[in-house]
Amino acid sequence: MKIWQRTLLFLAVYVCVLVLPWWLTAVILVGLSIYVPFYVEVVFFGFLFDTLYNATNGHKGLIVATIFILIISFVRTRVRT
Amino acid sequence: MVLGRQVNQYWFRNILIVLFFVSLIFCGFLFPNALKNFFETAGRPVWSTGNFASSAFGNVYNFFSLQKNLVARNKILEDQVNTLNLKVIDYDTVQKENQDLKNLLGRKDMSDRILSKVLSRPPQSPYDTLVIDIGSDYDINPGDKVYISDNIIVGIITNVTPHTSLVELFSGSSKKTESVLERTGASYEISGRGGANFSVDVPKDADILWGDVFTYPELTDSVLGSVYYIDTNSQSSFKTIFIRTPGNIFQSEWVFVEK
Repeated sequence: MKIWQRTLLFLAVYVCVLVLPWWLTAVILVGLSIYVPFYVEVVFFGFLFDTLYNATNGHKGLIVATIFILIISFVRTRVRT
Repeated sequence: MVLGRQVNQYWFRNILIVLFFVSLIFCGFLFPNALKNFFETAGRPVWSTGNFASSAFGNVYNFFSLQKNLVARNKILEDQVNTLNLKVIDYDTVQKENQDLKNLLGRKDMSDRILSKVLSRPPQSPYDTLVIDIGSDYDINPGDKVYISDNIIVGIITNVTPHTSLVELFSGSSKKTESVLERTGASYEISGRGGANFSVDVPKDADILWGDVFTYPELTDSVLGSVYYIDTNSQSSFKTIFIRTPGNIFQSEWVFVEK
């Protein structure tokens, strides 16, 4: 995937975080994490959810996103070797 | 050889992910307000456009409704409006009487309310929070109370940026709020269950009925919610009371912030 495609995708998902229901954005992020190689942006979007919407200064979204991308990364390696 | 390179690449990527995670945690810790301010300022035009688009296209469904259904619905709504008009007159009278009594007793309500537009609400937010379009520019402070009508309180301000504020709803998951049962005056700590719902476990013989109103304890009682279901289990000595905020928080476009 080219850098400009990735940037456009980033902006599109950013708008999704702001406008779409959180569960729909989560489904989109799961799909992108599986489809796009090394989709580390999902960690940033977890952080964005926490910063914009979490009132208690917790990092639930960030932690879930990081654990998820690490699992995806592990599964990808297993599937391809 | 190829397998070894892939394993190395796997570990390199994982280390990058963890480093990114740690750097975001540090950024959030070092500059919490600056980041919130930046993201909310960047999000404000998108939220405004999204709200405008949803209100503009939200009535498309009604355009295709059958005339017969619309006439029947109109009749029901007219009846409701007539009934509610009578209740409003009663309400205004009682409210004026209440205010006069407080003035007589020397307890003046000094609160000041500011109208604010809701920029983002659940289900956009997974945490039962609202983002509203006023912040420190209107002298809003953390702890200010937020209402969706004159007497229905829904949450408090927790974070303020120059042009936006974050409202934490009382119904947020696992959030506990002190409340008073209006009919008996008993105090209960109700727990948020998300989506404008609360619950509380009470002994089976506690005097709570369907429709009872729970209020926020302050000088002017504000409604937190009313009982819509009571779950009684024959094997337990407790019953669970389910409470819901009146009105629909998630469709209100405006809220009032009390300073």
